[in-house]
Amino acid sequence: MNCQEVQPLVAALHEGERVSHEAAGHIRTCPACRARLEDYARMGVELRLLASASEEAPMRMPHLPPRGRRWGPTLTARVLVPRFALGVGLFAIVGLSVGLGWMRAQAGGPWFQFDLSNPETQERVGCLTQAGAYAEDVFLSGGPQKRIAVSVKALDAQKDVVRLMVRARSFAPVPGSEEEKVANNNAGVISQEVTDRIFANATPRELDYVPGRTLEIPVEGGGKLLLKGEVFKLRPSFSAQWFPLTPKPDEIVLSKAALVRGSEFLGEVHGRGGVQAKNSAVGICVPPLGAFVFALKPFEGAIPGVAEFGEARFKMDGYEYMLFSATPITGGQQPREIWVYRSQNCPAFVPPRLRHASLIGVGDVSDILKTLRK
Amino acid sequence: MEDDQELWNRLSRGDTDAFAGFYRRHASSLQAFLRRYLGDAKAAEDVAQEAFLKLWQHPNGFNPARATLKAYLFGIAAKGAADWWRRRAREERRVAPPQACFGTEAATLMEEALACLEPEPRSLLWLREVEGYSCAELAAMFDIPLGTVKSRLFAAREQLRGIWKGERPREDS
Repeated sequence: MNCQEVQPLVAALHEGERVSHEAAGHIRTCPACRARLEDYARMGVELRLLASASEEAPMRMPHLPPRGRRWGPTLTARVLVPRFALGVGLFAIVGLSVGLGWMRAQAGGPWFQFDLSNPETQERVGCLTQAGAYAEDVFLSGGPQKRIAVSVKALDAQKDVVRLMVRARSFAPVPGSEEEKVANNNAGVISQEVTDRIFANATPRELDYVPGRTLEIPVEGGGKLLLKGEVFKLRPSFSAQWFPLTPKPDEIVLSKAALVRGSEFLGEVHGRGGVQAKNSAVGICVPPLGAFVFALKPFEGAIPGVAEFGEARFKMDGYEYMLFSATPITGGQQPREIWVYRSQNCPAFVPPRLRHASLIGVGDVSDILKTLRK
Repeated sequence: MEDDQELWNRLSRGDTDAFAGFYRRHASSLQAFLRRYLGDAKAAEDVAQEAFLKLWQHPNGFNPARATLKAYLFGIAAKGAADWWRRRAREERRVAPPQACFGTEAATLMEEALACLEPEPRSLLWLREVEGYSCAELAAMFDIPLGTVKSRLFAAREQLRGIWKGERPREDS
């Protein structure tokens, strides 16, 4: 063995370990290796002498804080974060921000919920559209044999003003035509082509609407419609304004009503209508049975029934009738008495070929009865 | 003198008298070690105080089967000292090269020679020769394998010997 090979074994010997016979023989006879061993020993002695000579001044015992977790130092301590992790974190933050921005952009503008009504027929329809999105196409009664087609698009909706693109025209659809089915909400599938044809001759108008006020929309061909609405940041799931959850005691409202006789379903009334008048009443036409008028006060020819929130019951011609509404039919103490009148015929303005139930008027009972007797 | 387990039990219960006794016994040697390790008396005092405080505040880390309580304390201090060196290296962006000690006149004082070593071998050699920790205890304290402790001690001794005797290190060492 030579000195270089024995070097680690000299250190091992100094550490108190035993070495091989051959290594021990070399160390015993080699002056350089013996000198190294002695140097190691002397170095240890010198180090201990150094420690003994440099006596440390006693330091003050630290103040002992109470046991328990100290959140302050933990939260404010510096933390070493690998650059890679920092990069990944930054990338994730940027990615999430872009993703959220994209989702926000996809979410579109605010929502505009509005109510369109025809002051002549008292018919009222609630609509919902999103700013910058599609136009809301609605058909209302315009009088005998006439319908009013109105298209409302919210170009921009702010809290204090809504810019609208409106087209409204009165027209008399040809009986049996596609236009008549669409205008009377009687088409199984509403064709965009037919709708476009109906609105083709209506001039688009840009109107500014101040939320909360009532906007008068002129109708081409005669008449006007009233628009009242509100702007929402998020899509409203339900609006008590258009579907009053608690109608007033002298108010009568039908929302997507359905009439049942015994176990026979007679029809569903599209749209909704309500009124608060001297003697509030609402009339519906249910082919082929005729018209039904519901009022809050007794009147000639009417029979009593009972209304309780979204349901009303009455007996007529030996049948048990039930009227259902998506919202309470009237307000005040429930159950309460209502009055029902049936006419064999619907008003003259209702197309004779109409097959589904429809709203024929809301207002004072005498006004509705007049339309039936014409 | 009570054994480590009993002392640890008292410390864990928050016995301040037990802590004061433990402090009196080991504060001086810990401070001496840290002063050699760090080369800065103020920093040595700060790190020593931190080590005692950590031992007081986190009584769940000691395992009597692995090391003595004193070795546990020195282990905490050694980690604190390593952190101190890292912070200082970041702040100063330099670490004094030990090679500067070679090629000068033969160093005759052990204190000067020791100061020329890198902090880690310096602390390892000190704990072995002055504090008398075994290689196994050092392995537990620094959380490194036993063989690594032995090889690092050998390298530290050779380096110190070379400086102490004024020899140039071999190129292959």
